[in-house]
Amino acid sequence: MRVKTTPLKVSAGLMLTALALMLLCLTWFSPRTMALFLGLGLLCGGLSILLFLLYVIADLHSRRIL
Amino acid sequence: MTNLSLESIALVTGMAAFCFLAGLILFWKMPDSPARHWLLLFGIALLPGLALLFGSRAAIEKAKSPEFCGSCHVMDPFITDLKDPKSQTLASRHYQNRYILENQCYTCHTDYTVFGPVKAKLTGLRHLWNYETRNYRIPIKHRGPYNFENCLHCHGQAKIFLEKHDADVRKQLESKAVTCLDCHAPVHPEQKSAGKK
Repeated sequence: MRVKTTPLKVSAGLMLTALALMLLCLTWFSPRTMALFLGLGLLCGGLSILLFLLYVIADLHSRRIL
Repeated sequence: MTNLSLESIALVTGMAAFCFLAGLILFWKMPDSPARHWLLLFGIALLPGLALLFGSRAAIEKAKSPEFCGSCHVMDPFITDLKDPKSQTLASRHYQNRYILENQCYTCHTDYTVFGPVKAKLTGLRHLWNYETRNYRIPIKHRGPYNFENCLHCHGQAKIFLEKHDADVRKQLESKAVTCLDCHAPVHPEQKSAGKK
């Protein structure tokens, strides 16, 4: 049975948000954009990697590799 | 590695990661294969993770400059004083005589200990949060006692310091019975208005 790809899509979306906030911060550097990147951006990036790892584990489990 | 090159690397990797990930989403329905798995791993975790690492490092490096400290309007009096040719404050004398070449605010407000830079960066993040949530009072005051060992880190072995401070004074400074500001003040100008913003 194949694992649902929803977590993967959410993970990609979160990472895109994190990268967009990082580019915004480095291009228009101000306390506000920096707070946005280091607060929300890194949180999105961290959550994205966590979701991706969970997806990989679930996928490997469904293929009886794990 | 200079700040500029670190920032450029962060921007380039960030844009590459963004474009790669956007492209990956466009070709989302490609057939399940080992190549797809590697592309997903590279596009969602590895390249963006690396870009975020460079990006956060570049942002923190950039935030060490006095210009960044001055971008919060509550710091205006301190930054104006730094550049005022008539000012006699310790901060302005250090700044104008280039006793510290760059990142002047950060250099004096960071402890020379193993965790000093980490502590300073966490403090900076707290300042950002308090500024954005308007959770601060004017006049701005230094939180907790200042670590005068930071002054001694540069001045402690200087010839002029050793000539003008005899062994007794040096002992008192080391034991923290007296501080540098007992004789050399003020360090910053007084901030006039009062109240919560």
